[in-house]
Parts: sequence; structure tokens; C-alpha cells
Amino acid sequence: MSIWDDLRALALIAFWDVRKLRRYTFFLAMRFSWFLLQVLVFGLLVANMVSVGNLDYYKFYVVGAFMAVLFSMSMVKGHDVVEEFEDGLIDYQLSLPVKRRVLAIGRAVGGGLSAFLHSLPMLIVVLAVLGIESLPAALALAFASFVFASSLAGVAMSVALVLRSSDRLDILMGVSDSLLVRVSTIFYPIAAVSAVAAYYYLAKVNPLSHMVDALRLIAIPEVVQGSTVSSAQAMIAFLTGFAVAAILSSLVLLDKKIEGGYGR
Amino acid sequence: MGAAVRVRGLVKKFGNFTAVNGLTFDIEEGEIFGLLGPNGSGKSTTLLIIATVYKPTAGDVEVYGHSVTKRPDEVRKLVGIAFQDPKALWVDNPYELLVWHAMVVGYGLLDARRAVREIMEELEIWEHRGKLFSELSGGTRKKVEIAKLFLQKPKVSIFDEPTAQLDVTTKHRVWEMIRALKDEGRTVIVATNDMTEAERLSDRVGIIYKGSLRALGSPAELKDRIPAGDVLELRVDGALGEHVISALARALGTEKLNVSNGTLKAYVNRGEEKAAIAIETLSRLGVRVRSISIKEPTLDDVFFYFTGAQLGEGK
Ligand SMILES: Nc1ncnc2c1ncn2[C@@H]1O[C@H](COP(=O)(O)OP(=O)(O)OP(=O)(O)O)[C@@H](O)[C@H]1O
Ligand SMILES: [Mg+2]
Repeated sequence: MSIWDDLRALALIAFWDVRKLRRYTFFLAMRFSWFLLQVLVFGLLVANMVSVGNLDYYKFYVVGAFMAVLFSMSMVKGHDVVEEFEDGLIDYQLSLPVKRRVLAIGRAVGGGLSAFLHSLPMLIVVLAVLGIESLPAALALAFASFVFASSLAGVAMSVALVLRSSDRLDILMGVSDSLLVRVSTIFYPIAAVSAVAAYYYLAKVNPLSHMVDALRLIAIPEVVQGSTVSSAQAMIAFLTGFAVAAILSSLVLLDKKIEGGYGR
Repeated sequence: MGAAVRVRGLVKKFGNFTAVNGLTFDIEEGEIFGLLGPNGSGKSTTLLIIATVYKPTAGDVEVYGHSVTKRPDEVRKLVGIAFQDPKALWVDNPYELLVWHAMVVGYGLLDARRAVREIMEELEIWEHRGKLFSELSGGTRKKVEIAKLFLQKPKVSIFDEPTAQLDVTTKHRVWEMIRALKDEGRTVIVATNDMTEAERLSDRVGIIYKGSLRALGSPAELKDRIPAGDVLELRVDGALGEHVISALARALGTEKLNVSNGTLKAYVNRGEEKAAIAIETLSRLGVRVRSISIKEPTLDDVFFYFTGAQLGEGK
């Protein structure tokens, strides 16, 4: 099989997740309303209450809220995979004439793409609220969001394949949602958390910190210049490493460990 | 023709439970192979291992020389499976699902649409193309599932109880479609509980019971392996004397004879040959045969003999 056949298969596998978009209409409407509330009400309230040096906390918060959405949309992909396991659809996909590597990457990309598409309305709100008019900046934001969503969805799907239980997954997701999002620079600038040493170091190694600050560097460079979790180069290196690790681990998992048969 | 699939010492355990317990057999290229066994005997598990969905605990399967443990990516290019339980999301609509499947197995979009329409019309599910999967009847779901394989036409097609929920007319149509795959030179494996299906379809059947192979051969061979499985029924003119009966017993090589109301029943192997011998013997002794019939054992008998019978008798 040529590389083109593999890419073609990858695109088709990725389409599997994207085509499920319509079942989420209600969920998306809820998420979207909640996001509007966050950005248009809570964000303003909080920004009026706190001040972190001379940082424009409102703009900082808006990007953070978007990252939180992107994160939870990607985590939803883990639920999808558990559900598919229960319905035997993973068995079906494992039987298709597609290389396991292509299947793994295709699902991660598809999961990322659909998480990204689910978050797209929110991204547009962010662009509007922040007044971003430059097309390159908007495209860079979109692309970065898509890449982050793919790594996160890849991790969520891999975890789901290992747990194979919606109960266990729900618990883990609840914990990771509150912990990972809190212990990061999603809502708190790194300068502000440096007071608590443990918190500071956890936030520093949390991929979400790097993702959200990377988004900020693209969206609101004038606000966060010099106050991100690390330098731009370091963040890019970290995030690339994270994406590669995420993909490699899901490849190994799917290749070596995963087989069908969710209790049947 | 060589073996398309070689199963060697195949074992599959789920925790402590052994679902497949050391299977070894070949499936020849171009044959329809029936895998027969009672519920829970390990049919689906075996098929899922051949399709690389499950990994063997021990042993191996080779498909055209490619091992399912070492080269599963290669195996998957050659094998396709229609699952026992149809696989779809409840929000799927059959048409989209089948077009997606067709494209994944290599069709271009336009060809996929055309082929899906053809196969859906052939299986009489075209009218259901736009429904949600959750709205479909059991039989329709099953048709969507097997349609995947008729689109895919892999070198080795695996059907897990393909007609389990289908009505009689559809059953016959599906059998024809499966035979057509064989006529195109493909190898077909069919797991089934349905003796008619196994008998009509299979060139050879393997009977498994509790994960082990109990019998392997063509339906005719297996029937012959049941001791004295054929029944010869003879109606003759006049009474049958002791000497006639014992001469007949000797000629037919069986002790199992009984006579009632002018009908003689003899339990033999290879009924057709024995019928000729019986007629010859009787006419030599001056007894006129009015009618003769041979009742062959059904595959049901075979199935009971190799599974049920051994349950009780522990043979
Ligand atoms: N994923 C699994 N986890 C645990 N046990 C399993 C699993 N799959 C199958 N089994 C067990 O293995 C045994 C064989 O199951 P299998 O589905 O292969 O039987 P079968 O011959 O196809 O039966 P049927 O005619 O009912 O379809 C059964 O006892 C079943 O409960
Ligand atoms: Mg079965």
C-alpha cells in the first residue's frame, strides 16, 4: 500500500468522528450558552475584581475559557470511544483493512477535528471579543487549536481504551477536568501562582498551561509578552514533544494491547 | 489449491475461561467452510481471531501465509467479517454507513454510492436507507451488516451467522449471494447453528464443541461417520423368513434390522450402495421388492452425534 492509500484511509477514519457532529446539537447549544455567559458576564466580573500587575485579566481569561472548552470537547472523545467499545464499533474498526497505525492516528485526528469544530463557534466569539482582525492570527489560532485538540483527544481516547468503562472514565474525567484545568495557567497567570511552589511546578509541566499560553501568544501577544509559562520556543518544543508522546503511546497501545470484545 | 487459512493450535482465554482450546485445521482456498457448534462453543471467538479483532492467547492463524500475530496489517487486507451482532451507531443511517465502509475498503465515492445502492436493492433494504439504525428491524440491521461484506468482497469472507434473523426468501437469496462469492474464486467461512444453512452452503464443515474441534469433513463424509446412520426401508411381497433376514444382515454387514408390517428397516452406512446389495440379495432369494427408500441422517444427527451425544456418553 502506498502512502496515498494510507492518507486516504486516514482521512476516512478521521471522518468517522466528524460525521457524528449532528448528535451533539443539544450538548453544543448548552456549551455555547455557558461559554457566552462565562465570557460576557463572569469574565467581566472577575476582571473587575482582580488585578495581576498590569495584565489585562479579561483578555487573559477569555482565552483561558476557550482553552477549557477545547479541553473538555477533546475529553468527550474519550466518552465516544468507550461508548463505541460497548456497542462493538471498535471491534468493527479493528476488522477494517486499515493499518493499526493509520487507525490510531486517524481517530486522534478525527477526534481533534471534531473537538475543534465543536469549539469553533466559541473561537469565533473569542476573535470577536478580543477584536482580532488579522487573518493570519485567526488561522494560526485555529490551526493551533486543532493540533492541541488532536493530541488531547488522542490521549483521552487512549485512556478510554485502557479503562473500557464509562463509570471509571467519568470519575477520571471529573478529576482531570478539575485538576488539570485548575493546576494550569488556564485561569491563573504563572506569575500569580508562583507564590505556591508545588502549584507553580505542576502548572509549569502541565501541557494545558503550554497550550493556553501558546494560544495567548498568538491571540494577545501584547498582553502576555514575557508572562507566559515559558518562552515561545520552549512551549513549541514542549507541545511537539507532548503530541509525539501522545501519538506514540496510542500507537503502541492500539498495536500491542488493544483487542476487541467489550465483555461482548 | 492450497490452504487459504491455517489455524494452528489456537487457544483463546478470557481470564480463566478457555473459549477456544487448541484448534487446528485448514480452510482450503475457494471453498465454503462451515463452522458449526452449539452456543458458546467458540465459533465467533475463532472468527474474530482470524479477522485480527482478537489476539490469540496461544497458537496462530495464517491467512495466505501471513500470521495474525505477526502481520495483522497484511491479514486485514485479505479478510473481511460480517459480525454476528450488526455494528453501527444508533445515529447511523444505513446508506451513509455503507458508503463509508465501501470507501474504506477501496471504492471511490461515486462507485461506492452505485455499489451500495445495488447491494441495498438486492437485499431489499433500499427503502430503509435514510432511517436511523435504531429504527431498523433486527433483520434489516443484519442485512446492513452482511451488505458490508458483499461490498468488500475480500479474498476470505467471514460470515458470523449471516441469516440468523432473516426470513426464508431472504435466506435463500443470501445463500445464493454467498455461493456467488465462491464462484468468483473467493474463500468463505460461515459460522452457523442452522443445519440447513451448513448443509446447503458448505463444501466442508468443522464442528466445534467447547472450543475443540470434534469433526471435520464434507457434510456427506460426516454423515457416513455416524455408525449405521442411514436407514434402508424395504417393502416386500409376502412374509420374510428368518433365513432371508439373516442372509440380508450378512450381506449388508449390520445387525440392526427390524421387521414390522411387511416393512424391513436396516440401519447401515452408505445407504445407496447397501440398497443395491439389498435388492440383489432379496431377488436372489426369490423375494420381490416393492419399494425401497433410503433415509440419510441429517446434519442434525451429525451435530448431535459429535456434540450432544458425546456430552452424555463421554465417548
Ligand atoms: N470478550 C469476551 N469476554 C469474555 N468472555 C467471552 C468473550 N467473548 C466470548 N466469550 C465467551 O467465550 C465463549 C465462546 O463464545 P463465542 O461467542 O465464541 O461462542 P459462539 O460459538 O459464537 O456462540 P453463539 O452460537 O452463541 O454465537 C462463551 O462462553 C462466551 O461467553
Ligand atoms: Mg457466535
